[in-house]
Order: sequence, then C-alpha cells, then structure tokens
Amino acid sequence: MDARVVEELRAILGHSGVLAERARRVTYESDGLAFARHVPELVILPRDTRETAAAMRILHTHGIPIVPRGAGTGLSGGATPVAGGVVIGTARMRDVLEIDAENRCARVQAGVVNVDLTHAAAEHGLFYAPDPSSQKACTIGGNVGENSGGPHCFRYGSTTRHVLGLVIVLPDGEVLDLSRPAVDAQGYDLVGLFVGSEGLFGIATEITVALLPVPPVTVTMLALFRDLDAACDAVSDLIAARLEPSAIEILDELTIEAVESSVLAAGYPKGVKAVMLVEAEGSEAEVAATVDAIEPLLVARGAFDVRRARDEAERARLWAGRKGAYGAMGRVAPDLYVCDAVVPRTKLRELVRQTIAICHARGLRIANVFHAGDGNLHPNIPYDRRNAEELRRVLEAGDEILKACIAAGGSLTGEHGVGLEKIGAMEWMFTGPDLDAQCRVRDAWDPLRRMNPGKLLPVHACRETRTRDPRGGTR
Amino acid sequence: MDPRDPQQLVDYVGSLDCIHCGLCLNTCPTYRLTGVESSSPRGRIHMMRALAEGAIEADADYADELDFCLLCRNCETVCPSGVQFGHLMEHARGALEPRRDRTAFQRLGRRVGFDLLLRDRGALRFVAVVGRAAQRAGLVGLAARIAGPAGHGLRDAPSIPPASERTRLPVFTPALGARRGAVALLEGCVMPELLGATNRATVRVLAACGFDVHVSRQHVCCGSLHAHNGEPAGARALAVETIAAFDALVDEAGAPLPLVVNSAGCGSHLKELAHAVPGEPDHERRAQALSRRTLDLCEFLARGAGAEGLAALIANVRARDTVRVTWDDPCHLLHGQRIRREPRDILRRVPGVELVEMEAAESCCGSAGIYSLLRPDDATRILDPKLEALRATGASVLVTANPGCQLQWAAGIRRAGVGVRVLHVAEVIDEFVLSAASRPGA
Amino acid sequence: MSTATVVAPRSIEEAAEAVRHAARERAVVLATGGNTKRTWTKPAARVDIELSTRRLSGVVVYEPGDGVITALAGTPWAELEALVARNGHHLSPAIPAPSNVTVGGVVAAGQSGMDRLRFGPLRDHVLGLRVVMADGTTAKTGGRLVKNVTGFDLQRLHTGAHGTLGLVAEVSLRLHAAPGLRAVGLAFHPTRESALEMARAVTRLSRAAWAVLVTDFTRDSESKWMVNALLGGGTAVVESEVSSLQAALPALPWIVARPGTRDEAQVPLTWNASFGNEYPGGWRTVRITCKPTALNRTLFALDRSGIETRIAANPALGIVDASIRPLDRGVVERISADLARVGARVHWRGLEDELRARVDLFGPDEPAGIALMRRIRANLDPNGLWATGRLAGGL
Repeated sequence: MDARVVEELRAILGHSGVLAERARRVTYESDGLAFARHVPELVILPRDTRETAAAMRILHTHGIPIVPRGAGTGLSGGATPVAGGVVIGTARMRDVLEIDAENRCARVQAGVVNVDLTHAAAEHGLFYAPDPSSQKACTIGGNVGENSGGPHCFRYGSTTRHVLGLVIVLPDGEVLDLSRPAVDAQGYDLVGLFVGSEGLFGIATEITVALLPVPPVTVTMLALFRDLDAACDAVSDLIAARLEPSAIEILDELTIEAVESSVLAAGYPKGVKAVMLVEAEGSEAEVAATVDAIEPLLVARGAFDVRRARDEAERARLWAGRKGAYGAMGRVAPDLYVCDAVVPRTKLRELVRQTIAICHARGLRIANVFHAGDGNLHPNIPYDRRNAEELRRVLEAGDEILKACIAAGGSLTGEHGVGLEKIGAMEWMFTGPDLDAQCRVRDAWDPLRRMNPGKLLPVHACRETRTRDPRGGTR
Repeated sequence: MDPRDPQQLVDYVGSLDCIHCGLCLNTCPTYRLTGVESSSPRGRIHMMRALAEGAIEADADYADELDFCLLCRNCETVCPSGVQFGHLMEHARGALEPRRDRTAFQRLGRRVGFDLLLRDRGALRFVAVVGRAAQRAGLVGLAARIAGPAGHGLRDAPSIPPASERTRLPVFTPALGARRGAVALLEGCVMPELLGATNRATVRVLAACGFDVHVSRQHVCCGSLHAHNGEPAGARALAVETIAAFDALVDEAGAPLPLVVNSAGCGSHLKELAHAVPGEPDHERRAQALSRRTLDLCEFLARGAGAEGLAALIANVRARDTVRVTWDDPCHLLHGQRIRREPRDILRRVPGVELVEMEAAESCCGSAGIYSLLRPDDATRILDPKLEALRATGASVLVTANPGCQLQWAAGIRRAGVGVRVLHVAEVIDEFVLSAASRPGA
Repeated sequence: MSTATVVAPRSIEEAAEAVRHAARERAVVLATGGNTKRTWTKPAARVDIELSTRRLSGVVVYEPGDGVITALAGTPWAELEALVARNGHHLSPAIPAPSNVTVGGVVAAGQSGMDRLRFGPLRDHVLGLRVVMADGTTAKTGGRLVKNVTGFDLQRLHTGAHGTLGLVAEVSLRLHAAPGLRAVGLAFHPTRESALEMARAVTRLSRAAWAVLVTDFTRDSESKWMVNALLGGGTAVVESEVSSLQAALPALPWIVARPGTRDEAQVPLTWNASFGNEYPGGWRTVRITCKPTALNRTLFALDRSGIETRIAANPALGIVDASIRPLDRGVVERISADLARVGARVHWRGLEDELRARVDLFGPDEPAGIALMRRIRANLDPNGLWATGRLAGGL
C-alpha cells in the first residue's frame, strides 16, 4: 500500500486506527469461511460515521477497493479481503447510542455486539429479536449486511424486519442519513434494500432497530427421537398445523456428541438420533395452548421423550449447546464446512436424507444442525484443511447439496449470505435478467464497483450498465 | 528444538483446534479495549498458525501481541472447541524468548527476576528489605520519574510491608478443636514478602476448621510466572523442586498431604503441572498426582471435611451488623480452574456478609501475574471499567483469592480514591468468623 | 390519461411482450391493477399505454403445508383471502377488499393492513416477486420460502414503488395462522385524551391485539371518541386475554365472537365502519405517520389547522388516517406544512385528479436519499418506459 495513503488515513484515524503491520493484518485474512484467505493491504478501524466517511473519501480518491467487516464471524466469505483492497472494520464503533423504550427502538453503532444490545435493552424489559448462533460475537452492522437469522427468526423474522433506520456511508464517502424512523418508506425502501446487501452498497455506521417486549413466559422443550426422518416429519406437521412456537431446531447425532463433549454440554442425551428444541413464548395461556398442541404431535411422530426445561438455567444450557454447536465441531475435526440452504418445509425429510446420502457417497461425515421451522438446513461437513483432496470432496458435496435444494424449490442461503462462497451458484438459481436487475441496482449505489468486489454477484453476469439521468442525457 | 524452524515456534497442532468461530472475542479484555483482531484470542491463534505456515515473521509486532495478552484464559471458558489457549500462549512465549530482541538490561532483569529472585528465598527477602527502604526514602518515585514511561511499573508497584509483617509461616500449625485432618499449604514466593497477613489468616482459618497445617521449609516458587512469561526451563526446574517438596509432606500413613493453595495463579499452574515437564514420564506422573491433590482454598472450604469445619465454625457466630461485599473472580480460579460457585457459597454463609454481584466479575482486573509490572498502562486501562463496576455495587469490601489481584485492586482503589477494602477470602473468614467468635459475648 | 391505450395481457410472457413492444415504440407505460389506489400517487406526466393486470389472474402455487401462496398480480385479493381461509390461514394485510383490489396492486402500493400491529407491515410478508422489467425481460427476486437471503432484497424495492421500477407480475406471500377466536372491545369517551390513554393501555397489556384504534366517527359529544380493539388468536389465548383486560380496564367491554354466532358475523362490519379509507360523503383522506410518542403533538397540529376532521388513530404505530373537508390546494398545503413542522409525514390519498396534479401528496420535503432513488430508477429504466412523476421526489 502506498505510504501516502497510510499517512493520509492516519492523519484522520490516528495510528491505532490503521493497521499496516503484516503480523496484525494477517489476522484479517479470512472470516468464518476459513479456507478463503487473502491478507488485506490495510485494516482501517474508524470510531464513528465521520471517521468512516473521511476514510472512504480518501479510498475513493485513490480508487482502492473496500471490504467491510464486523466481527468476522460470517460463514460465506463476505469479509474475505480482496486483492489490492483494504478492510474497514467496525470493531471500534461499539456504543449503544440511545434506547428509546417508549417507542421500542434503539440506535446503535454498527460494531455493537448483538448480545450486548439485548443486554442493554433488558433493563427496559425489551429485547432484540434476531439471535444468530454467533450472537455473542457478531455485530449488528454485520447482521444488517447479511440479513442474519437465528433460531428465533422462525417467529420474529430475520434482521430486515427489525431494522428501522440506517446511517450509511456510500462508497465515495457521502453520508446517507436514513435514520429518521418512518412508518412506511417515502419513495423507495432504501433501508429494506440495504439490509442483506453484503457490503456491496456501502457501510452502515449507525443502525436504528426495533425492540420487542420480553415475553412474560418462555417454555423450552426438548424432544428426543430415535430417527432423524421422524424429527423432520414432526416439524412439517407442526408447520402444517399452523402452530406458532418461537423456534424449532434440530440437532443430529454427531452434533449432539460434539456438544456434549464440549464446555457447552447441555445434557442432550447421547445415543439418540435427533434432538429437537422447541420454544414457546408469550402469555401463560398462549404458551400453555402452544405447548399442549405441540406435545401430542411430537409423540405421534415418535418422540420417545418430551421434556421441558425446569428453570432459566436449564433453558440457557439447552440453548448454549445449540448455539455453540458450530464451535463444538472443532472437537470432531480441525475444520468445518458449514452449508446453509433453505427448502420448502413440506420437503424437510426428503432433503435432509439427500444431504446425508451426498456426503456419505463421498466418504464424508455430516452433522446436521438446523433451523427446522424455517426449512433452513445447516449440513456441516467436518474436514482437515491439510488434506486438499478431502477439501475438494467437501466442496463438491456442498455444491450437490445446494443443487438438490434448488431443485426442490429451495434457495442457496437462508442466513449466511452468498459472499464469496456461493457466487458460482447464483446462476443455478437466477437467470441472466434476474442478475442483471441486481447488477443495475448495485451500480446505482456503487458505480465503480469498488465495494466488496467479487462477492454476491458473479462478475460476468453484470453487463455494462449505463446510468441515464431521468431528465435525459447519458452520464 | 531448532529455533529457526517456524513450526517449532508454536504448538501448530494445538492451534488447529480453533475453527475461527469468534465466540471468544467479546470476552477478551484486550480485544474489548482495542477492537483489534490480532489482540484477540482468535487473532493470536491465527498469528501463531500464520507463523508456522510461513506467512508472517516472528517480528516485534507478533511479540507485542503475545505480550499484550493477559493470559486470563477467559477465552477458554467460552470456547466450544476446547482450545487450550493458555497452553498455546505459554508455548509460543517460551519458544519466542530466545529469539527476542531484548536489550542487555532487559535480559539482565529477566535473569535476576526469574533465575535468581524466584529461585532463592534469601534473595527475595533481601530485595524486600532494600525495596522497603527505598520506598520509605522516596527513592522509588525518583527512579520512576527518571525511567520515564517505563517507570510506571515501579511507581505503581505495591508498597512492601514492614519486617514484622514479613515473617515466614511456621512449618507446622496444629488443628484447633476437633481435628479433622491435615493439609499442606503453599506459602508462595512473594506472598510472605508482600501479603504475609493473607498467609497467616489462611493458616488460622485452616487450623480453626480443624486441620493441621504443614508448610514446606525449602520450597520457594511453583514456577507459574516462568511458564506464563516464556521461561520454560525455569518452569521445569521449579516444577521438579515443587514435586519433591510436596511429595515429602506426608500424613501418618505416609500418603502425601492434600495441597491447599491460596493463590489462584499458583493453583491453576499446579493443576496443570505436567505441562511444565514435557517428555519426562516419571516427573509427568508425579506432577499429575500432585495436580490431583491440589485444591484452592475456596474449593477446600466448600467441600467435604473443609466445608464441615467451616460450618462448625460459623455455627458459633452471630453477626452484629452487615457489611456489603462483592466478589471478583480471579481469572486463574474461574477460567483456569473453573471454580465459580464455591467462593460465592462461602461468602454467602459468612454471618454479617451481604454478597452483591459485580458486573463483569468474570473479567480480568489487569494484574495477570507480573503483567501489571511489565505493562502498567495497559493494566490500568483494563482495570478502569472494573473500578466503575465496583463503585456501582456500593460494596465496602472487595474479596478475591489471588495475590496479584489483591495488589492490583488495592493500587487501583488507591488511585481512584474509592473507599473499599480489598480482602482475600481467608481474611474475610478470619475477620468475620474467627475474630467475631473470639469477641466477648459472641 | 384518457388517451392511453389499455393493454391487458393474460400471461407474464404476454406482459413482457407488451413491454418490449412499448419500448420499441418509445411509449410510456403505466402499470395498473384494479385502479383502487390510483389516487395514492400523483397523475403521471404522460401515459401512452395502461398495462393492466386484470386478466393476469390466478393462483400459481399454494401448498398449505408450506405456509406460502404464489399468485399472479391480477388475482383479486378477496379471492386469495377466501382460498387460504379454507386451510386455516390468514392473509395479511387485512384490508377492506372489494373485488377489484388485486394482489399486485396491494404490493405495488405497499398497502399495510389493520392487522399491522400484530403481523407487521406488508413488506414483511412479500417473500418473492416476478417483475417485468423495462427492457421486457422478466426478473425474479426472492422466492417461495419464509427465510431466504440469496441476492439483494429487490422485493423490498418494488414493494411500494407503484410500478415505477417494473410491473409486479407475480407475488409470493407468507401466510399466518387464522385466529381460532376473535374479540372486539368497544368503549366511548368524551375526550380524545382519555380514549388514547385507554388504547395505549390495551396495547401495553395485550399480546394478542391485532389492532387498537381511536376514532371520532360518531357525532354525539358525550361519546364522540371510540376505542375499538380487535384481539385474535387461539381460543384459550383470546379468552384469557379478554378476562385479564376486563379486570384491568373495566370501562372497556368485550364482545367475544364465537364461531357460528351472530357476533362473529358482526366483527368485519365493526371494522369496516372504522377503517374504510375514505369517510363517506366527500371527505378526503390523509395518512399521517409519526413516532408513537409524538402522536399527541401531531394531533394538536391538526387541531390548530382549524379544519374539520374525522380521525382514525393507531397510537401504538403512530398512524393517523384523517378525513378532511372541504379541501382546496391551500388547505392541503397548510396542513402538510403544519405537520411537517412537528416531524410528522403526510401521504394524501383520495384527492380529485385536478387537485392531485397541483399539490404535493407527500409533503413539502424531498425524501432522504432521493438522489440515490433517482439513480436506481435511471439504472432500472434507462429509457424512461414507466410513467414517471408520481411518487415523492418526482420518481
């Protein structure tokens, strides 16, 4: 990187806000998609909107590509640096700026950790609903970039439903203030469009989110199955019966083993083929009605034991096990390929079976742990990065799984994003015109295609689009 | 070991347990302070891997990030993959030490500290005498000013108590009342010089609970500071001495006595002592046996005969008034030894104590062994938010169970002007139970 | 407008062909559904072809077990509502839906319903779209899945864009569980303040409320202000909420609409009475939105204008539908300016064509990000095929 650029940036951000030393930069070479790596030229850590805008103006002047990064917990390579590019991290923007309990919303800096927001809201009897499994580490800004999900999105919806306003720094350093809360967007819904744009539109520095009242009663149920198929069928039954618990999760045998041998041991019995976690929230009557309706359905599908968490501590333990399942897989193998795909909820069993068959046919193990209620599969494939041939088989299996899900009417990703990982698969799901529309919208935000290049949109799918002023004349 | 081979500089295989999930980030004090990935556990492991794979050099930046780590091991408590971060860090520091670009003065300092002082009780006592004299004459403040920023550690160094406080523990103290058993007690290297009062309170409590207390005359140091700070050879030598010293303390039947430790840092090291003697099967076996019979004082008093003894003591005491206290988890008790409930249970049972939880009690206070001496400014930045949390509790006593934490807190409280006393859990029992029991009319 | 040719394709391919034809002819196209929300936007500067979805009708996929329905844009909303109700599903938004309200029109207009308190705005239910673009290609966004983050959320962009970025040709919507039981609470207050206070209390205490409204549609001064609350959900849930609300707010009586009784049949009537878009008799409506806590301030600003109004206020969401008469350009502009001063937003709905052409329907201020919105429009419609000048900022 040009020393003058570093100097210009340091004049604004100070020495500690610009990491130029290789030993430090190397730690930013990947996100949760560990096999995709590139050491960034620089890492920039602004403290607020002003610093972000100033840094992005400088980068714009020099034509330097930018990769935004929250906590680097993403699993699709959304924060993998690009050649000749810098990383702008939000880790020093960690203030909860305002909690407006009366209007049930909060304004936070992008680097606020998801769980820290919920803790801050708890004082007011409120909580922030999206709860990705990485919520103890991931940031609200990263959640906005990826439109993150989590177990409780079954009831509350993904991040986009909870974002009310944004302050965005555009690629050229211009600040776009969309923070004034609007009941409905005036003109086009730019906030809704930005959520899930995976860093291709700009960097959100401040986010206004909706908070919800903490439900008076929460019951967490654990159902044990001798058969993964039966657990999947039970979920399809729950959906068909239009029951509305707040989360429905399934963990398979290998996942249970990994969790139980970790610090997060949740007390899932070993040896069962599938564990289902179902949570119901609401008033006492609401929870009682939901639980009473669910239990017989589970039993009818072969759940041989259905229990309820006795207290808050047990509840927390059951969830800690679920949310740490990805990390716990480190005990099974040094690396883990986490797939993320969605299927219609009437086809859960069929597709879970196919994922298993695809892995076994390639001599791979598979651990299924997934947001069953949303049809959001996470087939996890353990591997060892030092074995290149194994990695090849893993990636091949991942592709086959995605193809099977798309063939069943599903989608490439339910919450992890396309990023670098699935960019090649975009064309399995979208036609040329589908992608062209997306490219045109991207070019409206970032005409020079400098934001997170090489992510989400396949480069060759983007034809040259010409921007035409509505009053005529081509720019 | 070939120091030129980058693979040898880190425990590469151990580093592969990390799958980069990031659950450790938010618990890491240095990451929370800076927001810099390379100052987080995940980042540090990433650097170790990158070093082994030849992607980076073991340069000053790498060394600085290793040194910046407090080794509080909070990350281990939350790691679902079970990465043994403390071990990885000790290994990396040890392997790096011979390649470090240290000044002759720094090298001399380390040799004096690790090879001379911590190996020799006489030298420690000599330094205490000279140090106290220097502090009383105001020479330390002067030296600190001359040394500039590097002198902060000197300025904030704990004040050394008078000679009357710096007496050694008796080799044997008999149980009081009904005898329930016998234990060995680790006296510690700097404890007698800086926190003799804590040691004596520990002996009084153990004896009052019905235990004979044996102290090793020849033992000096367990070597935990060496292991944490890149001195594996010193750690190994001291481990061997420690094993020999405590294997020699036996009960009537000739079985080695359980070893009670009132310093969480030492206890944590003793429970993993085999790491210090790699590749020596006989020593590893004996180290493991010692680890199995090592108990933190909190553990000892919360379980079995120790708990019965304490209960019997407490039964005789009625509180006159109530004091609000709060507990700060020493990292090497909570994260190193996974002891969370026991000290809280003990404190709740002490008559006259109202225990209130402190925000972020599980997070490091910045003491971290000799970290507060080596990186005083960072140590202060780590402690500052905790001082706020302490204020918020409204407690008048802060209780902990590790000498470094006691000294760090005392210094911070002095600096911030908060009117809070710092006590070891043994001192709480000594004051609220033993002294209360001996009060007339109790 | 009157000179525009109406084209009503029967398939998405026919619609695309019509657009390609228009593009070749350099004609300006206005996408329309049932024309029920024509007055929500300004009249277009020029329209050569009205591309109507009224024959682009029918359900494409409805697998009840998936909880999703996909239909062509011209499908009548009421038809979908009835179809999904037979499988125990509720289609949100709950809107007054005469037969000419189409699913495409609801989506293009971004119309949310009276059930918004419980189910959220329309944009949360739109899972996927198929859109005919200005170049005559068809672009898909989203899918038929309740959770999906593949590609940009272009469905968010088209929802509420009134067809200025493309013709919404096919829509996939998320379905919800139909309520097993509903209950209506009705109470009358002499003052607006006490009515609002009760409405806020219901929202605070209830988890099953679909809507809580305050209206002043009755003329009797002693009972001018009506609180109208609707609960929906499982039978046990609604029953227990009614009893706890009765205990907490004894002045609010409840009618539990048991299935098969006359009470059940009455519920929709009660609702239409207080939630039609236009108060009958030449009144014109403006939708005012603000922060919930700014509602009182907003209503005072409206009072100060000295104009006779009828309001339906939703205090929990910060939405007020005010019906106003008489209206002329001066009144509209004065009210818009007064409300803008207290931070509220306006959207005039239902003005006559002539007045609509002359006033700003969306208040005096341009929306934040208008330059970017114009770039998006220019990129998606580089040759200006879709009728323009209709939305805020002249989009």
